[in-house]
Amino acid sequence: MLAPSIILLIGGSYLLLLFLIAYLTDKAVEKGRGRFISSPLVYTLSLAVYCTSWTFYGAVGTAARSGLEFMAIYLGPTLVFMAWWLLLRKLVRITKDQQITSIADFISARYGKSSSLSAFVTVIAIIGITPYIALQLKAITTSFNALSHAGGEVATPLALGWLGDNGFWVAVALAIFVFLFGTRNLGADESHPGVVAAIAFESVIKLFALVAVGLSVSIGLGEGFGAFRDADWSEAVQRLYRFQEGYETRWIAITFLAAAAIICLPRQFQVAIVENRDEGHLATAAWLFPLYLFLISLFVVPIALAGLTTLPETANPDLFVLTLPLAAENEVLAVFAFIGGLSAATSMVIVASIALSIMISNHLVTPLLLRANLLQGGARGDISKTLLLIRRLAIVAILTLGFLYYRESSSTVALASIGLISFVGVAQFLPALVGGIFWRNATKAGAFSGLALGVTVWLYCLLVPSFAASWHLEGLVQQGPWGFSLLKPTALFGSEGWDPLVHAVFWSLLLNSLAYMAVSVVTSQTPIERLQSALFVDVFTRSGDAALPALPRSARVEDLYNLARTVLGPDRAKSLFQEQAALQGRPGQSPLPDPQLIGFVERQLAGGIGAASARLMVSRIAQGEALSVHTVMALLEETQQAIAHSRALERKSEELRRTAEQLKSANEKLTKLDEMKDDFLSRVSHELRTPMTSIRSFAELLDERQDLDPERAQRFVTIIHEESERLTRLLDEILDLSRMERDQMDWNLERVDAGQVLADAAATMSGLAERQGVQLSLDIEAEAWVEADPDRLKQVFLNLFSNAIKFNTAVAPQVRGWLRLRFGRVEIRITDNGPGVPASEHERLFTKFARGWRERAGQAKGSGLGLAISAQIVRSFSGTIALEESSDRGSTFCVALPLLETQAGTERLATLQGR
Amino acid sequence: MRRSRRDRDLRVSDGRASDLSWFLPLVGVFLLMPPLLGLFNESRYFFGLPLLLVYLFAIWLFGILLTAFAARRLRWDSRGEDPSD
Repeated sequence: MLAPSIILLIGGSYLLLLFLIAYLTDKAVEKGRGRFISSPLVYTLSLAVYCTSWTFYGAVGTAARSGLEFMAIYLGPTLVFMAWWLLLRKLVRITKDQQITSIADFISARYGKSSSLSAFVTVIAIIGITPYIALQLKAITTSFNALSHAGGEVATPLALGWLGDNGFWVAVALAIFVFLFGTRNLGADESHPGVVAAIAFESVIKLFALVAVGLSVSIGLGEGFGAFRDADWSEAVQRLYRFQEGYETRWIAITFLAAAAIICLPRQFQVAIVENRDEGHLATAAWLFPLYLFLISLFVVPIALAGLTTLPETANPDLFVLTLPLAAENEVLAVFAFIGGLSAATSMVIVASIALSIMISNHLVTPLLLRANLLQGGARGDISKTLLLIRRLAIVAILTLGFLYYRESSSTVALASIGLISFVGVAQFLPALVGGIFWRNATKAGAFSGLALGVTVWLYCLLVPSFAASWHLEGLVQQGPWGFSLLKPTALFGSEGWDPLVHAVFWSLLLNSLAYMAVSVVTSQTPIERLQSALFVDVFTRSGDAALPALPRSARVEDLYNLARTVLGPDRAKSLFQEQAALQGRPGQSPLPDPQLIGFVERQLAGGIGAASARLMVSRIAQGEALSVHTVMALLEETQQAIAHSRALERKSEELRRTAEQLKSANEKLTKLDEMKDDFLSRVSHELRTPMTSIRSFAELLDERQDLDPERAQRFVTIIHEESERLTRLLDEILDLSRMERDQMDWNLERVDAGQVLADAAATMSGLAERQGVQLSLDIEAEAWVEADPDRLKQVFLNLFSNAIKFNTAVAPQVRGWLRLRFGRVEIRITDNGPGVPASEHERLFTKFARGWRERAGQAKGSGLGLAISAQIVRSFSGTIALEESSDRGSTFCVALPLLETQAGTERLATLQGR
Repeated sequence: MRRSRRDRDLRVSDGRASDLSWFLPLVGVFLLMPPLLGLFNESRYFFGLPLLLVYLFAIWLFGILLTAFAARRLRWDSRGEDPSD
């Protein structure tokens, strides 16, 4: 048992801690620190404001009353975040482009910046959210009473009236908090770092508190998971294990509602869309936020199970989170749970009241003041102070409304049902919101009709029955208005026996969407609507401010400046105008008041006071031709063309870049070829010089020395003859090679047996082999018919044999030619046990003059063209030649040629049969 | 702010991740709605836990993992054209 004073002290300290966190964060951000505020983690935690006390206490209550239905509340948002790429990203982008301040502003801006539409949405939001705020105050008071009067003791009504109601003091504390940290300034840098930090902190606390209770309860259940099976099989427990008959419609309806609520609730739109600092944060929140919901739901079932099986039947399921630790006499945990519930409730009230106060001041009060010409600003011409005051008053009004509703409403209504009634209310925004960003032709009249019809059905079907007792409307609920039973609020059009929630969701959203679509089809858009709809629907195809079409208007720059100063304050106005002047290329001067600047100023004003009011204010100082559909279409087309033009340019430059790259690489290739040609020429001339020199010197000797003895003279003539033969051979080879390279060779192609050619070549070389003492052996597996020029093929083999023999310096030199058939190819290998080809020459082996010609030229062993010619010949027969292996123990050259089709077929067959 | 060309090329090559981001919520809806959900609405146990609970939480967790995977791969030019539109 805890004394109320101690709990008050703890709760009070917790609220003070929130103030401290917000204060320190604000200070840190002012000093340029506190970058953590713009991290995806803090963004995700601020989204968790979705989990109010309705989650903290109500989820267990729902689980205990209606079973697994509670999960739908968290699966709906999970699905929306899984689809972040399609929906949330677009909402965020539009909101950034158009400087949207709230969901009402968003809808109004989409449908032609209509101030009546935004006012209407604001009123619906107030009606829908006030009970929700009341619900949080109620949760705080109830949990306080449960903690301080544990054990079923009846709360003694305090004599002080509402001054003794701690719900009142909580409301006052929260009002002060929002005053201090939620209404700091106006305009595009409208961010509340202190509030965001406090909300993120509260999200962590409530998750930890629920998990702590869940863990302790799960341990308390004992025997681990067995408890599920062995638990008492009461009806309530059964509901936790499986759905009951006819669960389908409620499951679908609640999932849908929760999915709608995660974007349509004003506070969710505020934290997820308006306060989003970076689209990239969505990518993290897309999985991190569902994970948060997952974790917070994980322990709901164990807690509900423990409550149903261990606590007395009279215990309120909505308070299981609190009463279970109390029953286990774990007071520290109970207080932690209370703090968790307090954080869930306060974070919702804080964010909801900020979001609603912005909507009330921008869409209800400011337009009225503007129309009445009351908003002129003080002596300093600055109305931003007035606007902040309006916001603060709005916060007081919202919290007062919430408090009054809480005092008046009966205490028997379960937490979940109030929450769901609110959800149905805000879900009415869904058709206008989602339709607006995907459907180009939706009109303001359509949005109006849909909203009006949906809200009417919502009020009639859900709110009227719940107040029937206190408003004496039982007759209407039971018999229908004037006895007209088809219009009974719980059974519209004869839909008797439906679940009231499903009934209200179905009819309100069906009629809402039908009216939205039908009226949109029969009405047409005004020019400004047309413009806005194009900006919203095509937001991804227009990139950046530069492509935003500007209405043709003109204004004096002084008027624009005064307007900006009045709304945004002198400091911001000054810096904005300097920025724009710099962008126009006029730094230090005032910017030119072109249509772009007017559009820019209007968007900046919209960031402070909403799109509708901003349009109204700018239109008072800016003159332009009357806006016609034609003008708008021309504008849109113009920007569209500009975009297409810049994209075409981008493509063009990409093409140019690619062409330049290709040219560069072609040039590199040519340079290389040129170098190779020079190299070749110098080698050829050198090669030709050697025999020429010796021919010339011997011829000179013969010419000059007439007295030479005939024997010597004869030897000289023989040398001249041999050298000129060598010269001729070299020239022939060069000619052959160049003809082959240019594909001008006349091949004498015929069907030949490669094995026979190999044997012929070996026979030809046997003389040389014998002279060099090389043992030459042959191993021919089978006939191998190929299409080739037999003489040329023989030339290849001769060359390989001759190299293998000539360069073989082994003690017992051996050369082996062998032929194998493999997979439709014939492979002829010439292996020697010579010194091998140096690794440095491998790469250039088959190029001209590769074989270290310089060093060996004197040995007159070859021109250095042999392998290059062989490679050309084999290539002409569609074959390959390669040095397969080479080490100091010998090398193997392999010539592979395709077998002729007829033989290839039988050979393949033979291979398959496993010859 | 424009990102570098390299980043934008990366985005183009991620068309499959963008497909996945369409595909995931759709599959999620089918798996978490009747009539498919009804298949698991049985009084059976999975390692001592009610089958339906295990199914719902497993699908949930799996969806979170896949979304994280897809989101990691979906990098886009924050001001560029939309590849999926």
